[in-house]
Amino acid sequence: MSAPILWILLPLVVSIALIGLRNHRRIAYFGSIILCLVMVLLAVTLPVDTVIQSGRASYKISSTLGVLGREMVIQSQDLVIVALVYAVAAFWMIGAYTTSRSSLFPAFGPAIGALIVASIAVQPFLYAAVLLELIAIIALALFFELPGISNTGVLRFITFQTLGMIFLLFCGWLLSGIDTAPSDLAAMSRILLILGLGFGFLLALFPFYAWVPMMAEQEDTFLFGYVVLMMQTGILFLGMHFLENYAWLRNSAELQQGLLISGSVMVATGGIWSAFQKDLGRIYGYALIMENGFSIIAMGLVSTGGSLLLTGMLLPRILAFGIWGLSLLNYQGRHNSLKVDALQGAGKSSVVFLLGLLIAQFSVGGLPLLAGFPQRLALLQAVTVSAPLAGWAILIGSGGFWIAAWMSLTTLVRSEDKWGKFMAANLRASLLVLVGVVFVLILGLFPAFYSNLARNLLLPFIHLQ
Amino acid sequence: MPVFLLAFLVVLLAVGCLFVAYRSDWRGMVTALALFYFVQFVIVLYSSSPLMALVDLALGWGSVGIIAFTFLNIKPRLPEQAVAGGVSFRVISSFFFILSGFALSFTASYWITQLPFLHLAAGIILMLAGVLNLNFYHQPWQVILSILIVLAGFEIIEYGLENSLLLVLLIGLVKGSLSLALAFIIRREAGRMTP
Repeated sequence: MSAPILWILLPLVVSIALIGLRNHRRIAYFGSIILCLVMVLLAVTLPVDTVIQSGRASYKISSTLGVLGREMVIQSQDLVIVALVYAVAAFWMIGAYTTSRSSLFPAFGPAIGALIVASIAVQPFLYAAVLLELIAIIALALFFELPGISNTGVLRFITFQTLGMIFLLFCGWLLSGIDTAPSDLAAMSRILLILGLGFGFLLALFPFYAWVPMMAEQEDTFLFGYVVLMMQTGILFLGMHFLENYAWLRNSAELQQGLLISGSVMVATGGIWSAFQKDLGRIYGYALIMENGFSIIAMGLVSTGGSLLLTGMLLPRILAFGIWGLSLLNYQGRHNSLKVDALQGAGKSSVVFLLGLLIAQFSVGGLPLLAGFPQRLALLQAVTVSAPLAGWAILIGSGGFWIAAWMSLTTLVRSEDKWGKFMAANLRASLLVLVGVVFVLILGLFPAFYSNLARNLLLPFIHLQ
Repeated sequence: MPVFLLAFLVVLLAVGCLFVAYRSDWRGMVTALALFYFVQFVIVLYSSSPLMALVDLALGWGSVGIIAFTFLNIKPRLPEQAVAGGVSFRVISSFFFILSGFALSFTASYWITQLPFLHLAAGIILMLAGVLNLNFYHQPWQVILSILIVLAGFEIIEYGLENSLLLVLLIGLVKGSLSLALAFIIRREAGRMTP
C-alpha cells in the first residue's frame, strides 16, 4: 500500500461510486462525510515510510507511487496538508447536507479534495496545473446541475483556468531549459511574464477576476466557496513549489514587486467594489478576491517570512467563508435571491445566520478579537516596513469592505418585524454555523492555538520556512 | 517532417479555423475539431513518438465521439448564438487572426528554437482561433468546443517540446472530462427546454 493510493486513488474511486448514489441523498452525503473523516483520521494517525507492527504482521505505507515514469509522493510532512484538505471537505459536506440542493456534491466534493492532494503530490509539480484544471471541469458539471440565473461566470471560470494551465505548462518547459541561476535577462523576463499570466488566470489576479463576483451572484454560494477556496489553496501551494524549487525566482526582486503590486490592487479594488454591491453574493465574491490579494501580498514578502503569514491565513479564511457561505445559502433558499431589496429585515427571522454572516464578514475585514485579525495585523506590520504603499492599499480595501459589511447588517435588520428565535428552523445548519462562529472567536482570542498548524503546513517547503 | 507536408497541414488548419467561423452549428464545430485532432496526430507522429500520437488521437477522437453522440441523441435542438456580428465579420476576423498567428510564430521561433516555424504556426493559429471563438460564442457548448480547440493548438506545441506519455494522458483526461461535462450540460439544457 502506498500513501497516494490511500489518500488519492481510494477517495477518487469512492467518489465515482457515490455518483451512482446521487438519487439517495442521505446515503450519498453520509458516505462522503465518513470518507472525508476517515481520510483525516488516517492522515493524523498513520505514519508514512515507517514499519507498523500489529501483532505478528507488519505494514509499511510507502510514500511513492510511480506512474508512467513520473511519481506521486506523499511524505509524512505532507500529511498536515492532507488532513486539512479532507477536514475542510468534511465540514463542507456536512454544511451542504443541511442546506444545498446539489445531488452531485457528495460525489464531487471528496473528488475535489483528492485532486487537491494529487496536485500537491505529483512530481514534476508542474503537472499540478492539469489536475487543477480537472477540478475546474468537475466544478463546471457541479454548477450546471443546479438551475441558475445564468452560467456565464462558470464559463468564464473554466476558460481562464484552461488558459492558466496552458501558460503554466509552457512555463515549466521554459524553466527546464535554464540553469538554477540564469544569466539571460531576456529569458528571465519571458519566464516571469508567462508565469505571471499563468497564475493571473488561475488565481484570478487583477484584471482576470471578473468571473469571481459573477459566479458568486449566479451560483450556490456555499458550493462556490468550496470550489474557489480549495482551488486557491491548491494553486497557492503550487506557487510555493515554484518558489521552493527555483532559488532565483524566490530571490527575484521583480517577482516580489509584481506580487506586492498585484496583491495590493486586488485588496484595494476588491474592498472598494464590495462597498458598491447590491447583492450579498457579489460581496462574498469580492471578499474572496480581497483575501486572495492578501495571500499574494504575503507571497511577495516570502523572503521576509511572508510564507508563515500565507499559511496562517488559511484556517481563519476557510472557517469564515464556510459559515458565511452557509448563512447566505440559507437566505438564498428562503428568499430565492441575495439582492439587497429582497433581503430587507431577513436577518430578524433567523438570528443565528445573521450572526454567522456578520462574524464571518468582520473576521474577513480584520475586526479585532476575530480569527482574521492576528494575521491581518502581522501582514500590515510586515508590509509597512518593506512596501508602505501596499499597507495603504490594505487599509483602503479593508475600509471599503467594512462599509459593505455594515451595509449587509443594515439590510438584514431593517424592518419593523419583531426578532424571531435565535436558532432557525433548519436546526442542523444553525448548529454548524454556531460551531463555526465559536471557532472564529476562539481563533481570534487565542491565535497561538493554530500557529503550530501554520508552521506545520510549511514543512514540505524547506526554503520557505 | 517534410516541409511541404507541414505547410499543407498548416493550410488545412487555417481552412478549418475559417470553417469554424463560418459554420457556428455543432456539426461544423465538431467536424472541424475532428480534423484538428487528425492534423495534430500527424504533427505529433513526426515530432514525438508514434505511441504518444496514437494515444492522443484516440483520446481526441473519443472526446469528439462523446460530443457528437450526445448532440445526435437530444431533442429539442439547442440554440446557436454568435454575439459579435454575422458570418462575414467572423470569417474576416478569423482570417486576420490567422495572419496574426503567423506573425506571432515568427517572433516565437526566435526563442523556441526546438520547433520549426510551421510547427509553431500550426499550434499558435489554432490557439488564437479558439480564443477568438471564445469571444464570438456564449452558449456553453460553443464555449467548451472553443476551449477544446485552444487545447488542441497547445498540444501541438507542447508535445513537440516535452516527450511525456503521462502528460498526453493527463491532457487527454482533461479533454475527455470536458466532453463528458459538455454531454451532461447539453442533456440538462435540453431537459429544461422540453415542455
